[in-house]
Amino acid sequence: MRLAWRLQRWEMAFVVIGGLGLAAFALWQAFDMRSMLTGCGTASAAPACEFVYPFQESHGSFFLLMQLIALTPFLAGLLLGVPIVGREIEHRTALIAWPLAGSRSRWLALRITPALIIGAAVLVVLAMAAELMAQAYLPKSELGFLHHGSRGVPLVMRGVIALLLAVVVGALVGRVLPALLVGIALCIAVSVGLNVVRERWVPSAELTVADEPGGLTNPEITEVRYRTPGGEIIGAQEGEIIVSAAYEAAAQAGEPEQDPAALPQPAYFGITSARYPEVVVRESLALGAAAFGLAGVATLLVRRRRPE
Amino acid sequence: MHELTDVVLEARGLAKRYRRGSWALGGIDLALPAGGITALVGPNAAGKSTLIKTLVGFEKPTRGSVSVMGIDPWRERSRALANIGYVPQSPALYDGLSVDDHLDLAVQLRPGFDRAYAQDRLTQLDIPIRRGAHSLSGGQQAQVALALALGTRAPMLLLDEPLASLDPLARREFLHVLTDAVRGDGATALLSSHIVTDVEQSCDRLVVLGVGRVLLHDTVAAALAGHAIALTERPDAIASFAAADGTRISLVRGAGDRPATLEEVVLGYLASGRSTAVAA
Repeated sequence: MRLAWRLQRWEMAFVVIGGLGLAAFALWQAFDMRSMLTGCGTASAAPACEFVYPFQESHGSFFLLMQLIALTPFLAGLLLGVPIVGREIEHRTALIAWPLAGSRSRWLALRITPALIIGAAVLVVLAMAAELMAQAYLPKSELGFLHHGSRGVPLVMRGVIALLLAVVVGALVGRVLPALLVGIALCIAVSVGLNVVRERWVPSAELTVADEPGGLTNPEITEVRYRTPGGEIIGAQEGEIIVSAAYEAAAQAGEPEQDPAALPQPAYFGITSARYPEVVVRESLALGAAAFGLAGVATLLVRRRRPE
Repeated sequence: MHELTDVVLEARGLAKRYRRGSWALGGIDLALPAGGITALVGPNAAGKSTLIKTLVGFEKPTRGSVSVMGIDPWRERSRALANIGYVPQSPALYDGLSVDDHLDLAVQLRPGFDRAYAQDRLTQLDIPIRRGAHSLSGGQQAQVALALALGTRAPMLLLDEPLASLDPLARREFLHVLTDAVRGDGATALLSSHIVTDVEQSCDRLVVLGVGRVLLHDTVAAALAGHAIALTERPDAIASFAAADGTRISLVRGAGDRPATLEEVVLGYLASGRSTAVAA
């Protein structure tokens, strides 16, 4: 571990300080929001205060922090993963290390393990801090898919996959900076791909009123359609046209406001928050399998690659 | 004459073609006996590095085969490398590590790495092991790379032009340490270089490589004893080439006008290789 630290001290320091700094900020934010809730409980406070006040005050920083936390596993994985092979080839140190090690697979395992341990440890702390912050932000709600990927196990798994992907890219490209750029593009693709796969993998269903936006659960909304007064489900575009046409006709006729019950109403489709644990388990297993696959690809590349 | 069982390094019909299409090695047959230092000399692009990289398992032969201690380094790299200590052309040490850290790294990477032995070699040369590798001179970095190879206690040492960027004093020190270690441990070393004068004192055998082929393979003593310089053109000459003073001289087998130096033997064979290549 000492040698791993000395070989990658800047990247590791950046990840540790950056990750733990974000975690500390998230914990402070959680504490701050909880304090506000406690204040809301006083006799002078309005009844709706316990939801409205923290939301108004903290929404901006909470949202920004969650976005930053969502980026962290990818950034940490890239910073730790790319130099493992990429820098060895770029600086030609593989010429010394690989013949010394004999088995390149063993060499790779010795290099990846400390980076993986440090990266995962930082991300576990960050994931827990983000979870606490989310709980403090919506204390009366089921968190469900709220900022999925920015808290809990999915955050850590994203870091693991980014690190192994970065090792593969570093081994392919053989230079740190170009590999980082390629890695960033691939991490964006992975992030987008995960959302697409999740929506297709878990079948969407029409959400109940409690699951809809503004309710007390946080489902993954995949599609918005319309339900006609007769109960038929129609597409979003068709629904919007009908509603717009009805309002236009009413305006031209100088009629008073439309009766909403006579018009198609939005119908939300998605994955209910009750299925969140199942989705996390499925996603984690898939990412774990992908991580093993990437580790295999990295080993194969390192075994076949020229060291310079 | 060595028995076949003494052969520790062998190449049979070894040819290597790079993707860009040029042939680096054009069919080499070579067998090195155990013990001593063999100098692999030849001009730039003669194929010296390619040959050594193939022996270390960095390059896959396009045709033919190689073996180190009877093991194919491409197919069974781990097993072959267990018998090899390798020194690359440029030392390529880790910037962020001290010399001490390099020894620790070698212990971690190589089971059985003799740290004390390697450290002793460096201490004898007054190389500060607590200092960062980046702050060492080129000669000291080369010595660290050599110590890392020697610490493996491998029976076969492969050195890919380690002298190329060193000043004469550093080259002499490097060769002294190498000779001392090889003689002391009974190891076998293949040292590639294009500086013939440096290897003359240290090496037991000589392989002259030119245009991807072995032009001469003999002991240094036999190469010197078996060749001479003729000051006039002779039909039986191996090759004619320009001497340092500009006059044409010829390398011949057997008797001549004066004994040949090792450099002249090498130059003669390189000139013969060039003329053969041109004729071909």
